[in-house]
Parts: sequence; C-alpha cells; structure tokens
Amino acid sequence: MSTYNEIQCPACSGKIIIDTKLLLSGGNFSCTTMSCNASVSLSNSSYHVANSAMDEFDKIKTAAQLS
Amino acid sequence: MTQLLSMAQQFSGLPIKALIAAPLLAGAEANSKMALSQTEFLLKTCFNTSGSGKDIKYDPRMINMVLTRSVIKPDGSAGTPVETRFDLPLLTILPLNSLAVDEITVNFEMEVKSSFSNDQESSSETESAAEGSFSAKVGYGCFSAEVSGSVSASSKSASSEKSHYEKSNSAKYSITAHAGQLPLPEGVTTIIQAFSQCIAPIQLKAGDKVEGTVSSKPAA
Repeated sequence: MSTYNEIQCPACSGKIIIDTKLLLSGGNFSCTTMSCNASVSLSNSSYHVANSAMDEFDKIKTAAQLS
Repeated sequence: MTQLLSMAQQFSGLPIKALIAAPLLAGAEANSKMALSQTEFLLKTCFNTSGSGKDIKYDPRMINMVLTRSVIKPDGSAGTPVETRFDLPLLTILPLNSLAVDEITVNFEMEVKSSFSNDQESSSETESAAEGSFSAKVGYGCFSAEVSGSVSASSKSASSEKSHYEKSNSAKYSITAHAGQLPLPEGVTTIIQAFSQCIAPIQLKAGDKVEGTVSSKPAA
C-alpha cells in the first residue's frame, strides 16, 4: 500500500509529495515546482502526534488484511 | 450390470445458493467492518472532539510543519534559509485509502464420474491323454507264452476368472477473495482538499483588518 500523500505548497501552491513514513523519520520534502525552492519537514513538537496516528493506522490496516 | 448414475441426480442435492451466496455475504460483512474501523480511526485519531450528543464538534488535529525556503542574495550568494512554521491537519498526511474486498471469485467445479466396468475372463483347459500297448506271444512245443500290456492316462483342467469394478466421484470448491484499495469517498476527498488548500498563508495588505480566527493557521 502506498504511503504517499500530496499537500499544497504554502509558497507557490504547487504540489509537495510526502511519504508519511519518511516524514516521520525526519525526511524533508521539496516542492515539485522547479522555480520554487521550498521544502517541508515535520516539526519536532508534532512528531509524537503524527507517529501515534500512523501506528493506529497501521493497526487497522493489518486488522483489515487479516479479516 | 449396474447402471450408471444420472448426472441430474448428482447435482440435485447441491446447495448452490449457499455455496455462492455465503462467500459474497462474507465479503460484504468484511467490507462493512473495514469501513467502520476506518471511520472510527478518522474520527478518533484525526479530530479533537468537544461537546456531546448532537452537539458534538470535530476539530481537525493539527501538526506543525516547518517550511524552509532558500534565499539568494542580490549578489548571487546563498543567504540564510528562511524557516516558516505552519500547521497542517493530520488527516492530510495519512495515506488513507478505502481498503475493501473488491473482488470475490467463486469457482465451483464438480465432476461426477461414475463408471462401471466389469471385466470377466474365464478360461478352462482340459487335456487328457491315453496310451496303450499290448503284445502277446504264444508258443507251442516247449510252451511259451508272453503277454505284455501298458496303459497310460493323463488329465489336466484349469479355470480362471477376473473381475474389475471402478467408480469415482470428485468435487472442487474454491473461493478467491481479493482485498484492494478503492478510491476515497468524495466527502473525505473534499475535506482533505479543503484542508490542504488552507495551508497557504493569507496575505494581508496595509490597512487590512485581522478579523475572527484569521491567523497563520489554516481555517478549518
């Protein structure tokens, strides 16, 4: 299952493709617009919230595959 | 001779409805459970709730992101990157997909092979042989007599019988269920789009008033 998601770039309104697993491991994602040099990463203060949500999501995904 | 079984008779007692409907019902039930668990997950993990009963209010749970932009000075040299913090709904970074059983294949194959075969082989063999010999000699004068005889008889009998009976039945029932990803419901897609479009900061001009909840955070 893909863990990619897409958000709008706050700087140019272009696309930023985010891999949630990599984001949680400290990854930095750049805007796909060539001229925009913006990149986003997860703030340390939000790491716990995002990580817990991802754990919960993995649990229901595993349960769904087992059922 | 035993008669072959009627094919129609063989299939008449089969619960075809149950065989086909049961896997489909199981698939529908699994889909329902999956949808319910994903909805519960969304509401529990991605939203903060306030109020109760009919007045329950769901506010999106936000995470803080850091936006880094490079700066190039007028002389072409690299300046210190500028960091901007913005809040993003947690919902937008989760790889949500509607997981569901999208294909169920019921393969029912029943082979009724009823065959009767009776091979009989019988053989009988009789052999008899007889042999006889006799000689006689009679003399007169000095009295001489000679009698000789021989008898021989032989008999042989063999019998064999072979019988072969064959009958077979076979049935095969296989169910293939495949769980795949379905497109997200339109409502969830709309919510995610609305949230992600609110990431961009609102540019205020000189003299604009800041009203209500307008801030650097996206309006949920």
